[in-house]
Amino acid sequence: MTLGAESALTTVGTEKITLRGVRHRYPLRTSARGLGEFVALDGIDFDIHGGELFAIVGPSGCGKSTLLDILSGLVHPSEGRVCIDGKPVTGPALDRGIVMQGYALFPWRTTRSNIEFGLEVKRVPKAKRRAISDHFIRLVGLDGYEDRFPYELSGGMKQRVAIARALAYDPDILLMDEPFAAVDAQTRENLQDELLRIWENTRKTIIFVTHAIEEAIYLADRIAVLSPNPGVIREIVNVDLPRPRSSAGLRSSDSFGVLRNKVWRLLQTNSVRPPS
Amino acid sequence: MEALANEQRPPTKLMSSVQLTIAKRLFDRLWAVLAVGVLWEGVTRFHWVDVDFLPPLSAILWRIGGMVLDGRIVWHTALSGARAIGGLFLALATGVPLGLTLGYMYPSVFVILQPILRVLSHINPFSLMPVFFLFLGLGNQATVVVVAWMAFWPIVFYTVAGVSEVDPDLIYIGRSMAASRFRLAIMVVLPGALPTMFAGVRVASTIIFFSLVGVEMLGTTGGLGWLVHNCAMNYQIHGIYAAAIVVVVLGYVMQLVLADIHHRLLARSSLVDSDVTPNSNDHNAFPCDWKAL
Repeated sequence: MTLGAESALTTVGTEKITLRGVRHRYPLRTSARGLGEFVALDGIDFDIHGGELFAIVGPSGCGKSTLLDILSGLVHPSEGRVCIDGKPVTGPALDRGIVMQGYALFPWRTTRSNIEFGLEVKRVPKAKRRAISDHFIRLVGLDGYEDRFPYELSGGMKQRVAIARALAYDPDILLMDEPFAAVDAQTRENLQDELLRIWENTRKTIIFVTHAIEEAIYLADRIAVLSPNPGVIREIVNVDLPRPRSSAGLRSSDSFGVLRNKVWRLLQTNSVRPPS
Repeated sequence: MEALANEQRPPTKLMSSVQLTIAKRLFDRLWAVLAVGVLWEGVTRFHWVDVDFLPPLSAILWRIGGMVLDGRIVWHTALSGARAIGGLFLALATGVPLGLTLGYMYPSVFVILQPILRVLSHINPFSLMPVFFLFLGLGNQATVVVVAWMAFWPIVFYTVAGVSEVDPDLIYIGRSMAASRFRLAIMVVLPGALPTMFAGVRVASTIIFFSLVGVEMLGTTGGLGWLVHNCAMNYQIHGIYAAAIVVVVLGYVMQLVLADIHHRLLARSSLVDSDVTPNSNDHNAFPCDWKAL
């Protein structure tokens, strides 16, 4: 990958995250011929601006989750470079928060105690932890549920706890891996509005992985459309819809439909395109 | 509307129905015990068995009452209890760190060591009792070490199993926050493994309880096992049965308490998406854990 002209243009300015020539392969054990390899991601090259809400869509197996693992620092790419604020990513750190599809709440901890988990890792003193968790419990609208355990909460509430937990230790970047895929349609739309409100309040950089086209358009500033086998970026679509985005009219508007059609067609051509 | 709804389902009625269910379940559990008691009393009162070898239940209960009053039962129970708890704590203090180290830090080492550990766990400490007594002398020390040896193995194996069953997503979240391996072990792996580990504690407690009585017969003075043995040596048949019944009741109560704690741990760690509506009283759905009985 050439790091010449393009990177010279992008390293200056407000780039929060830069990915250059990221390629990742997994060893595969094929039955007859011994070891093979599976290229999960290839030639991933893009920048994410500070404070941007950036969505990644693609069919299953396109490497969306691998890309998030790389951004979180838990997986090192086979090739290429990932930088945050110009510094290469060497491992996980508290400047990134993660929200997962399956909530991944600690079942033995209450709402408050789950939210304070990252602060405990960070060794924040107890009184300060409590003040911070109070703030985030209010932010995600869970007043009155501080002392409930996860098994006493609905799916939507669990995801609110997970979002609050990821925000509580004040990371610059929020990585969200299909966070609303497991909740019902109504809760999902509520959570989307909630996320937009939280994003507008906190101005975090959010990377939002989803397989739902409408969700990506509704939330994001830009959408990276990935195609599988190997996972490459098909196109980065600008979402030039006005903000704040309120649920009522926007989803049925013409410009929303045009975007939906565009992204949908990009995903369609992926599936019929022969593997290169 | 609201008043009507309250009238239709008054809270007091709900309470009494819960109490009725509990009473019924208690009866379901206990009627067989009562039947055996009546049968025992019957066959002895009608002299269908030799009452020198099997005295009537009422006489034995009378003897238990007397032994409680003169303090003997209390003293020997306390002695056995202290040894059992000591053995359990010794086993926990050694078994949990070993299980965590092998299960979490070095799972590949566990795979290699597993056959050796399995063989060691099958050493019957009764067969090696003289060796234990040689090293530690007769008395409390040797007794505690012998029962701890037996409790150690289930605790190690269940800890390793519990660690391997911790939800990988939870470890992922912990790692993403750059928690050190040690903090991850304390904050995520240990609490995540706790319900399974507690199953190991239950197994260990049962083993301790059974083996302690045997060990006390061999190498100590005092304790419930010694009491049974001592009564047998002095041909006090009532005393044998009295001590034996106390052992059974204590073991049963201990299992009840442990089962209750275990069910609470399991309920709390349930990962099933219950999807309860926030205002329903679903968190009161388990008024008590009678299923543990």
